[in-house]
Amino acid sequence: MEPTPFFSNLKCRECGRLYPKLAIHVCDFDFGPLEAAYDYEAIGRSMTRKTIESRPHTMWRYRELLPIDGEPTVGAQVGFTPLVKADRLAKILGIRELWIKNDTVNYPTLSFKDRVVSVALSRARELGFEVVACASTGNLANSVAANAAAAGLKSYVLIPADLEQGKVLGSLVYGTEVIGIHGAYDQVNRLCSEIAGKYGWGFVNVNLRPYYAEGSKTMGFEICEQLGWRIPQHTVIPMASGSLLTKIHKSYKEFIQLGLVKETPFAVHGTQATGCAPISHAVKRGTDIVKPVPKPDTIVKSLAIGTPADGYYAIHSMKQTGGSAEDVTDEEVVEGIRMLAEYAGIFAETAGGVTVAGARKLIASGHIGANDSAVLCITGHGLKTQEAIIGKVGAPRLIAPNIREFEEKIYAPDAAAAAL
Amino acid sequence: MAAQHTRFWLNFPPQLITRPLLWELCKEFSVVTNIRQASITDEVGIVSLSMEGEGEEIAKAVAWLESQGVRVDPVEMNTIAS
Repeated sequence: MEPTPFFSNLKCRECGRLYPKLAIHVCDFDFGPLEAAYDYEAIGRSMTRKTIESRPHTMWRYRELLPIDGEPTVGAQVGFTPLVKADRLAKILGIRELWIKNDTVNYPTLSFKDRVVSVALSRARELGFEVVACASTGNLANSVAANAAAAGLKSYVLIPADLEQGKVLGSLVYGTEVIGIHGAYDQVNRLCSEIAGKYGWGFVNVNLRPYYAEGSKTMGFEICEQLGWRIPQHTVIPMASGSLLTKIHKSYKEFIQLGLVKETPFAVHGTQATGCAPISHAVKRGTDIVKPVPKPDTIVKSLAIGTPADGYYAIHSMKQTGGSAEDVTDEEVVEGIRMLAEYAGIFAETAGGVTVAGARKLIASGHIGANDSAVLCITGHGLKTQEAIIGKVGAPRLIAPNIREFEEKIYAPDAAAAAL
Repeated sequence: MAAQHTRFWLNFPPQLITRPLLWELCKEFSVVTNIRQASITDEVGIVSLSMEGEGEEIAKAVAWLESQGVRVDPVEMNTIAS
């Protein structure tokens, strides 16, 4: 297939050096991360609101702004998840207008990781990889396993050996090779880097990272289009490595540059769990130096990254847009999950609780104005982290199978009528 | 054994910033080091370092740095995602 003219190079984020579009991720010169660069003039000639609107409702409707050469071959159905107006939740959180970008129903594995993985694996195929891999403790592993299975690629998932069995099932079921590695987290981390460098595998979050990370932009593109082609005043985003926040920021800038949305003021805000909040703490200290958290301690495992690779860049995105960061305790996370479920009908994993509870704090402190409008990014389904709320959301009331007991203990029509 | 080329981010706590640890490392182990970026503040010293040598020697050098109180991450930082 003829390469498209839109995706031109990889480019170092630090020094701007250009690199060919291969499975490389770090600048040879200064070890800065590489990211995809595009020919925006060519894209501007091809991509209009009208052309986008004429395409299928998937994340690939923004195809020109994604780093593959041909048509996508993995995850063709991913994305275009609902953007839900949440009036009842807005009232509880104390804000005029609130929207939920609901990636709990992303296809096929119920998290935003399907966006990044479908880009990484489509690119892996273009680069000729037959084996793909990732190192992951949760959502990423599930997504690589499922999308690789659908595409007929062999896949390996590397995990710390002591990871709970329940978390591994969602990968094993797809027939992927799951490899448990004994050792401390840091040692496992370094070994994964070594394996990725040594064998000819497409490692989605290592040597394919420049492609993988770009998939996150589609969440921002969809938000703008679903809001009627405008950028939200505030976007609240959970942070692990910080990559999602930087990519949503990039997506808004790209849409402005292409004239697809008007340039209106917007802020991106980041949220973390207090038990692992290196980025939030740096923002609060007023510095861009991210101090590693050696031993994360939180129920929010999906955000518990002590050395966030994109922390520095996330801090600068927040600073440039007038955004801020907040962190929340585990108790607040559970409350956030409950609020989202009870007032918007959406069951999110713990990272969703971080976003909701963090947004509440940002609104209360005035970082997000009470008369403003905000979008909350909810990135994964609650069925994935049920253990975090077991025993914290009540229990069913039990009765014998007769109407008398039902009316005595549960619902008395006369009393209910009197209460009206 | 073939020489390996590995890339790390080193994180020095404030109390180690004035100590010539990389000089000590090169005296102690058969590895060739090359600094590509460095940033030092009152709070922390961050160095990106390439290290060349035999695999076992690199592993020993990394273990020694850690025993001295330096945090050593691969150049990707977090290869293990959620």
